[in-house]
Amino acid sequence: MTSNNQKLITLISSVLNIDENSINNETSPENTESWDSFNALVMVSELESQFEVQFSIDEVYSVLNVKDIKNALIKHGTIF
Amino acid sequence: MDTPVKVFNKRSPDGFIDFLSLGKKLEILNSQDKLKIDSSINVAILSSSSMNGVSSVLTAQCSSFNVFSNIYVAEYGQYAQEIFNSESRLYSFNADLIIINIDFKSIAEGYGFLPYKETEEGRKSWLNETIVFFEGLVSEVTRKSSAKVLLHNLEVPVYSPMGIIENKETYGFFESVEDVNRELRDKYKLSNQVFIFDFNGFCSRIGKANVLDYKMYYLADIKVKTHFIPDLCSDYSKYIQSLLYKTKKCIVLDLDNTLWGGIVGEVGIEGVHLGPTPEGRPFLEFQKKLLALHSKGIILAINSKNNEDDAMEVIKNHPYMVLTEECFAATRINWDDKVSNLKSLVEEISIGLDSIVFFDDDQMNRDMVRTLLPEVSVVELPKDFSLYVDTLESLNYFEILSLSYEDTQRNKMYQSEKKRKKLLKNTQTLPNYLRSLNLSIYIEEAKKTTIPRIAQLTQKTNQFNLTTQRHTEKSIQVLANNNDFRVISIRVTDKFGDNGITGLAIISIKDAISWQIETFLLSCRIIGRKAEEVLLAYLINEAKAHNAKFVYGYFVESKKNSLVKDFYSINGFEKIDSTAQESTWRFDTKNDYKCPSYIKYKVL
Repeated sequence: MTSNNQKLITLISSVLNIDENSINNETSPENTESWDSFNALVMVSELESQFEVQFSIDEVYSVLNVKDIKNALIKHGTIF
Repeated sequence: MDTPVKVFNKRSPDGFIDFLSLGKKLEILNSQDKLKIDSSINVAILSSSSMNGVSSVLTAQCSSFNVFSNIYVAEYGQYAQEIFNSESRLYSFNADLIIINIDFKSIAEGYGFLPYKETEEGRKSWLNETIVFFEGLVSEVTRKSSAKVLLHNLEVPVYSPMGIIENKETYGFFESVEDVNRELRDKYKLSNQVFIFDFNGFCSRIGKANVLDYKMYYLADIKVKTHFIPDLCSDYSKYIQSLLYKTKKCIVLDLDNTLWGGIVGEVGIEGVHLGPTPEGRPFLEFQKKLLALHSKGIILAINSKNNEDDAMEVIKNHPYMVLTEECFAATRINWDDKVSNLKSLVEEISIGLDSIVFFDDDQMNRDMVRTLLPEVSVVELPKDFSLYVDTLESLNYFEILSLSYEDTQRNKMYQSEKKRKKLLKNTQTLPNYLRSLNLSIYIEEAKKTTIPRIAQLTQKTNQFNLTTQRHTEKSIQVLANNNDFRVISIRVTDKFGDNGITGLAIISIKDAISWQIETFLLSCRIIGRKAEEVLLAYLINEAKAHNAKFVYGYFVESKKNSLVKDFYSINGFEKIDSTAQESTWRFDTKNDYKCPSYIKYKVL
C-alpha cells in the first residue's frame, strides 16, 4: 500500500520540482506555484504511464488536489 | 559551480521530466549569469501547435555539448504574424536558427477530414496551394533574416476514408501529402539557408500511432506527446551542433569485443567472431557502418590493449575484416593505459580531445576515460553486441550542414600526413624537409564558397589562434562585405596532397595608417610548415602597398594557445602594451619582413 503512495509522491515531486515532504492530500495548484496548466498535463501523462491507467478528459478536469489524484487512481484499481 | 557537462556526466537524464527540470535549472543559472559555457545560440520556434516543454528540453540537451540555447517560442498559431511583421519579436530576437513547425492537422482542417469531398483536381490544387503557402512563408523569413531556417515537412496520414483502396485512386489523398514533402525537399535541396526537417520521418520512427496523444491534443493542442519531446529535441539539436561546429571528427575504437567478438590473444585469428554467423554478423555490420562514416570523412583510430602482432594479423588477414589498415589514421595497440594512448593519438592526428568519440566494451576503461578526459565523448556500449549497430546509429555526433571539401578529403589528408612524417624522419633538417615538401600556398579573400570553412576554422582552432575570436558564417559574411575589414584565408598544398583552407587572418583597415590583425590562426594540421610566415608576409606587404605605417597584432591568452604567445616577438613585432592576459604588438612597415623563399605562394 505504501509503495504506490511513495510512487505517487515521487512522481509529483519530480514533475512539480518540489520537496517530497511538502506534498500532502491538500497540495493543489492554489498552493503550489509550479502546478501550472502545462505541468498538470505532464503529470497526467506520467501518471498514465507509471500507473498504467488511462484517464478521461472529465477525470482530468475533476482533479483539484493530490487527494483527487489518489481517488482517480483508486477508481482505476490502484490500491493505496 | 558545476558546468552543465558535469551535471550531465553525473547522471544523464533519460526522461522528459529529467530534461525539463535540468533545462529549467540551466535557464535560471543563465539568467543569473552563472553559467560557464562555450558558446550560445539563439533559436526561434514558430509552431502551429503547442510547443510547451520543448524550450527547456532543448536547452538541457544543448548543454551536453556545452552550448546554451537561448530560445524564443512564439505564441502558437502566430507564425504568420511573426513572419510577415518586420517589427515582430522573431526578428528583433536575432535568431541563428528558426524552426518552423506547421503540422498537417492545422493547415488541412477541412481537407484532412474530407479529402474525397474534393475531386482529383481539387486534391492537386490543395497540393499547389500548400506549396505556395510554405514558399511564401519561407521566402519572407529568408528575406528578413539570415538565420538558418528549419522547416518541418508534413506528417503523411495513415488513415484514409478510402481504406485499403486508398492507393487505387488516380490521384489519392496520401499521395497529395507525400507530394508536398517531395516538392519541399526538391525546392530547398540546393539552399544553404533552408533545411527541411523530416517530421514525417520522425513520426514514423516514433510510430505514427504513438506520437499523438489524443487527450493531450484535445486538452492543450499538444501534437507531439510529451514523452517524445526529448526525441524531437534531439533531432533539432543535430542542427544546432552542426551550426556551431560541435560535430565530432574521430572515432577511437577498441578491438576485442568491439570490432570483433572474442579476445584475439586467447582464441587467435580463427577463433574471433566476425563474419556471416549469428555471433559474427553484429561485428561485421558494425564495421560496415563505421566504414560508411569513414567514407563521409570521419577519422578512425585504434586504442587497444593487445599484442600488436596478434591484432594486426586479424586486421590484415581476416577474410571478413571490413576496415582495412588504411582506414585507421593512427593506431595504439599496446599495453599502455587507454588515457595515455588517447592523449598521444590526438597529438598524432592533430585534433582536440573534444573531437573524439570513444568506443570500448570495457566499463572500467570507459569510466577511466570519462573521469580523466571529460572532453572525450564516451559511448555507453551495451553488453549485448547485437545492439552495437543500433547504438552507433542513434548517436548524433556526426551531423554536418554541408560537406566541405576538407571533410571529404580528410582521410586522404591523414594518409598524406603519415607519408610526410616518414619523409621528415628521412630528411636531415627542417628547412630541407620543408623544401622537399614542395609547399604551395594560395592566398585568397573570403568569398561565398569559402565562408563556411572560414567560420568553421574560427570555431574549431584553439592552439595556433592569437585572439580566439569565434565567428559564425553570418558574422564572417558581414566582415567580408565591410570595406573596413579584410578576411584573408590560405590554402596549403604540398606534394602529398591538398590540405584545404587551413589558415586565416582578419584585419581591420579602418585606420588606413594602422592596420590591425584581429584574428590570426592556423589549423593544427599544418603547424610547423611556416605557412603562417607567408600569410604574415603577405599582410605586411599589403599594408606597405596601401601606405599603412604600422601593422598591429594582438595576443589574447586562452587556456590552449600558449603555443603562440611569442609569435609576434619572434616575427619582429615590438611589444607596445601588455596586461596579464593580453598584449599589443606593432610592426613598422619601414622594416622588411622576410619569409622562407622556398615556399611558393599565389594570390588568387
